[in-house]
Amino acid sequence: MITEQQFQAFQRQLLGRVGGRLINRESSYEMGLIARLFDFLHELGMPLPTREEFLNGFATTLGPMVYMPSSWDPETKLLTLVHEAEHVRQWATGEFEDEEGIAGHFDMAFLYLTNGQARVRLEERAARAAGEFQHAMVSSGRPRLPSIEEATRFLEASYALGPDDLQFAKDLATHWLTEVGYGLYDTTAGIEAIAIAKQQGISL
Amino acid sequence: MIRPLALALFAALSYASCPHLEEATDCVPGSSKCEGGRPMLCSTGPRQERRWTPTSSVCASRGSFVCCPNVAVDGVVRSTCAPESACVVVSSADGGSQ
Ligand SMILES: [Zn+2]
Repeated sequence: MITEQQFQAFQRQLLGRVGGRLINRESSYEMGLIARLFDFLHELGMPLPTREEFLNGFATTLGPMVYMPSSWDPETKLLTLVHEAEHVRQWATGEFEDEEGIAGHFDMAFLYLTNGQARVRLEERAARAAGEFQHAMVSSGRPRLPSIEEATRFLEASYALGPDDLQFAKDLATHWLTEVGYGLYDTTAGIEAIAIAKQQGISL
Repeated sequence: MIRPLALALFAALSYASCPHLEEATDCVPGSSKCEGGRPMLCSTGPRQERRWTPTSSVCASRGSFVCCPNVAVDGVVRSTCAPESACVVVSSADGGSQ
């Protein structure tokens, strides 16, 4: 059981370490603007979330800013934050800590928006961060890791991915689930989140 | 003559300056391998192009792990980071690429 107070202390620490900032989604001007655009396109019959769904049903990270609905329960917010914190890190320093993979800033943003394979890589790595956290923190009686299906289902709806991209996502998820199962934690957000949660006495 | 040349040069320059993912011809989609102690996965892109993707950091940089073929969570032998005790020997017929 996680309280709102615990979540707040956790988010300050974690986003401090990756250089990000949490923004209340419902009251943010930028998200309100996008929500209004979505509402308009939704009215025109486009398969987009309504304003209400957009503001309360998703978390979005733009550069160092994490926009998350404050109304979510603290545990959901905490797990989602680990995923989003990895996106902040990807933007700041790239896909990996060394020179390999997708570089940060412009490269990360450009490839995320224009290339389905890059989107899959960056999203599965963020999913891995949350998976590592879950694996390290979950106490007995609950699954320590998602299934391959659970680790890729979120990509099926609103990420504009083709069948090859989704197959790639499944392959990537199989790889990281295997490694995390061995206790190999590799993402910056995952490793930092585990350290902070242990230090703050948080358990899932 | 000048115009197509200028266009080709412009296209080459913009391709060089826009970030893109490296392509490869030497892989079967879904197969994996170890390179420099790091696992790589082969994928197919939208134009059916193929590429190798690193799937994690250099294994040894995260503790006592190595990159080797081992039985993944889906029951298939794949090259990922693993404790040495989990590595399996694969026959040369499939080259350890799965
Ligand atoms: Zn994400």
